[in-house]
Amino acid sequence: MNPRKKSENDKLANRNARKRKAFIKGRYLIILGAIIIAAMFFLRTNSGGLLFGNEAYYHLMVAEKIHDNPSIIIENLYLREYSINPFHIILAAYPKPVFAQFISTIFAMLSAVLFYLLLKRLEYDDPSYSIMLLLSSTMFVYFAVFINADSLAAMIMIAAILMYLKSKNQQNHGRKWSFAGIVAASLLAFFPPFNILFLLILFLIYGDKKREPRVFYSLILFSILSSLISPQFYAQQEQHKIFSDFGSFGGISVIVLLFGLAGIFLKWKETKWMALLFLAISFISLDYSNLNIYTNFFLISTGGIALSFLTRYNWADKNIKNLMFLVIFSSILFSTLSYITFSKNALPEKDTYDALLYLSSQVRQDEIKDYVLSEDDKSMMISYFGLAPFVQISGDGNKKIAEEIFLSNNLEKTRKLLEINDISYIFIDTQMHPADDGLLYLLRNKENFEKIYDSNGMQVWRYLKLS
Amino acid sequence: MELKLASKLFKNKLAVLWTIFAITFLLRMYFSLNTDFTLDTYLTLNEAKTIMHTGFPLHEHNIVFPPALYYLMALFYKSDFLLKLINALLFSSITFLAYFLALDLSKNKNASLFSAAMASFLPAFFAKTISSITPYSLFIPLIFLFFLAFLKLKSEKYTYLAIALAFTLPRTSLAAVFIVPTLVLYLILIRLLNLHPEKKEAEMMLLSVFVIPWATFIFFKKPFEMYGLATIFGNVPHRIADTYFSTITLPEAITTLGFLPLLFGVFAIYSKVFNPNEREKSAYLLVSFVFVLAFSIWQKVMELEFALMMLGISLSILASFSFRDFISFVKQTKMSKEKELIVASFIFLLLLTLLIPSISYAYSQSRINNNEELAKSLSWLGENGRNASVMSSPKEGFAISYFSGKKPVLDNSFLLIQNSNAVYEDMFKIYTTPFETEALSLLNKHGIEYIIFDDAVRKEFGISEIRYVGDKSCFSEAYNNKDRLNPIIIYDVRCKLR
Repeated sequence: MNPRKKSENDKLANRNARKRKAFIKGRYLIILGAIIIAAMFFLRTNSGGLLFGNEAYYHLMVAEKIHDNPSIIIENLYLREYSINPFHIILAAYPKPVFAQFISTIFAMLSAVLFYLLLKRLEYDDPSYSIMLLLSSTMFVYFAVFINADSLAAMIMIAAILMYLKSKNQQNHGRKWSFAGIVAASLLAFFPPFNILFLLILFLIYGDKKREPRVFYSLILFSILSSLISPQFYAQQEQHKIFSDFGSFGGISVIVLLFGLAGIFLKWKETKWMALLFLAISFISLDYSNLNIYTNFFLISTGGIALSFLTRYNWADKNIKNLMFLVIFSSILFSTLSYITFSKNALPEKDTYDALLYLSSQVRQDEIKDYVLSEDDKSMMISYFGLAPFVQISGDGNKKIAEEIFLSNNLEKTRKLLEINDISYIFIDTQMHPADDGLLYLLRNKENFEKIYDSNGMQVWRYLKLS
Repeated sequence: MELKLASKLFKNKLAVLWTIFAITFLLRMYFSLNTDFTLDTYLTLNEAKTIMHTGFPLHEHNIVFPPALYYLMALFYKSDFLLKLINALLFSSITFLAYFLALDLSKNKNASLFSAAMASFLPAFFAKTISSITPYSLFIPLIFLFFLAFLKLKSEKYTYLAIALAFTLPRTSLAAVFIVPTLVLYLILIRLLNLHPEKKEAEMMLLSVFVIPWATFIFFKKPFEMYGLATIFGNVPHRIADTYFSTITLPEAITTLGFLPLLFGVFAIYSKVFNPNEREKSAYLLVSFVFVLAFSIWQKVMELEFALMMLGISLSILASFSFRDFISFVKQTKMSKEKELIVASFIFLLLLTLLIPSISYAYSQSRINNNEELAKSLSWLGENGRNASVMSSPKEGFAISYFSGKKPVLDNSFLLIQNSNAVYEDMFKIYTTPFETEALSLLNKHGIEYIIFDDAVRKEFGISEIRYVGDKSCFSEAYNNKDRLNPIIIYDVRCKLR
């Protein structure tokens, strides 16, 4: 055999062997992901078994309403501009916490599997490193355990891209994949518009309009139309921190950022347009944290390249190499352990649940239909208990009034604000105690406030109205 | 004749180096034994004592400081003499570090000796560190040791040393994170000048860039969760942060850095960065560090005093290039016959601009650091006072904890104190308001039962008296030493606002 050809065959064989190995590693990693999620559920069950996050209660309440009366989907729910969301339709089939948790986990796992297949399709040497970074990210945990529609959107997005790529390479089934891709992309129209906008930009950058003009233009058309569905969406987004290590769930972890940037540096030619796109996105992401999801996926994919490079790199000093990997893996482990502990104790906790249960019974007993003042991250849970939270969403004008009440040291002013706004109950949790300022300071005034519940740092106060 | 003798002596470089070290060490010991500890040192003493008894650092008052120095000092905390000795040894080690770093950069022993002397006698560095035992006592020598090890990575032992220091430095101070931008800037600078890092150098950079931020993050996880990247600003109240710069003028800054290191150091940076014929890769590490320090001073990220100290040492080391070039320039001129005279004039300049200002500055510092009266009053409070919060200048916060065992409203560790700015503003109002009700409302709000009024408070809050304390039924003088040099009054707050 021609030596040149033989060497090429050897290279191909090596590459295939590497890919086979990576595939096996990938499968093990998915199992690892399942174990991490199972561990979190187990720990959560032991500490009360409540759903993770305040938003979970919003999704459940919406699904319950759709389940009871499907025509309600055209109305505004809980002061939010509501547009139909496939996640709520699926959840409406059985609007119970167990089912909500189950489908969220399934969507997260499917996102990870599809992401793996996408990276394989994009001819990554070893996608298992990216999958490892994905599983160790808080975004994955956010997808899997916090009931949210983002995991479904991300799953559909990845599926759409994957199908589009398959349609390009498969002669016989190309049309089928194209059709499936268009259907998937059109489903994104029912999610917040940044999803479809993102897909649009992606196709503008990478779309092969010469080979697949119909698919390309159909996707652009669908993207434009669907991006017009709910422009109100942007006005309602909450501000979040970008980095998960600084306490933001679903944010970017510092380790992913470091590896992601290293990966972009290593594959600058292939990644430069995407990097620029995500640089632009990251500016917007300062305000709209949901966009972080795709930035996260991109950095995880390039981070995998960097990790893979480090394992194959010919190190001059073995000590530095060993320590480097020790640091990398311990930092990933540390990050995983810390967010497992963090999400185990994520709000709402059992104490919050008990306090709200007491408050709802008290309200029924008092027969007062006034508002409950609390921080906005508990508003949905308060609603879930049939109470009326004063602050319902962050964009709500009441949030400013609530802040004014919380910060004021002036008793007269506070009383006036509580009277005008029909607030009769104040819900205080452990996170609000250390400041002991503003309203917390004024609560010492026994003529105006009565403590009706106090357990494990959770306090409920009744405001004694003048009238 | 004397000049020839000096020249002969100068030929034995190691002896000269040891002489510089001995002078630095002895002067440091002399001044430190004749002065009290600085107020910040009481945190170290408190921590060392706690470590000695429990094996772990103190977690009161929300203090989060990397504990390496506290563990070291815990071994000697029972003897003030030993504590001062270790501190003097740590800071005097800069003489050797500056010499070997300068030697590695300039490859010229005479120039390196001048650098070592300059770094040892930087006025601010010398005077301010005499009786101050803070995490910087360990951090400053270790960071320059790290740079030395980094430049000598070819040797196996220095590789181990650099690795060990990459793990240790984040345990000494939050300022360790400044190594990361230094290394990144170093890489950028050398690539811009078409130079390449050695393979081992690149690997060490990679390790440091991962290890240092990560180790720092683990230690400061809670503040990072609370404030994000703003943690590196230390959550310092705005009024205090503003005084970082207002307290120093340009002539003072030049005196602090030393005229000679500034002149020769800046010239060395200029020639290394802008002169394409003078590309010496090793120089860019310290050049990068100087740029990072300058940026952090500009952005108020680092305490000015501490940043200026490190800037001065770095410039002194870089100055070795200028000395080397100056010496070789002189050799080419007719003045080469007067080499001894030139060396003598350099020594004279060194004495005039560095050693003498250092001694005089140290003397004035030793007079400021007189805490005898404060210690007496706080010990009295510890024995006779109720278990309540004590308000004074945050600078005295650590001393309050150490001598009285009481809780200060604020101390110099602002991290993890929620609304530190609001708390400081309340303190400011309490000291400056003429209205008793406003003061009482704020005093009750923070649970303050003792107010300290002394020189530090007068200076910090710009007051000559507390105007509402005339109401003796609410504010009685629990302790008063008006007749002493540093009068201290402790007011007992007896009223509660209903």
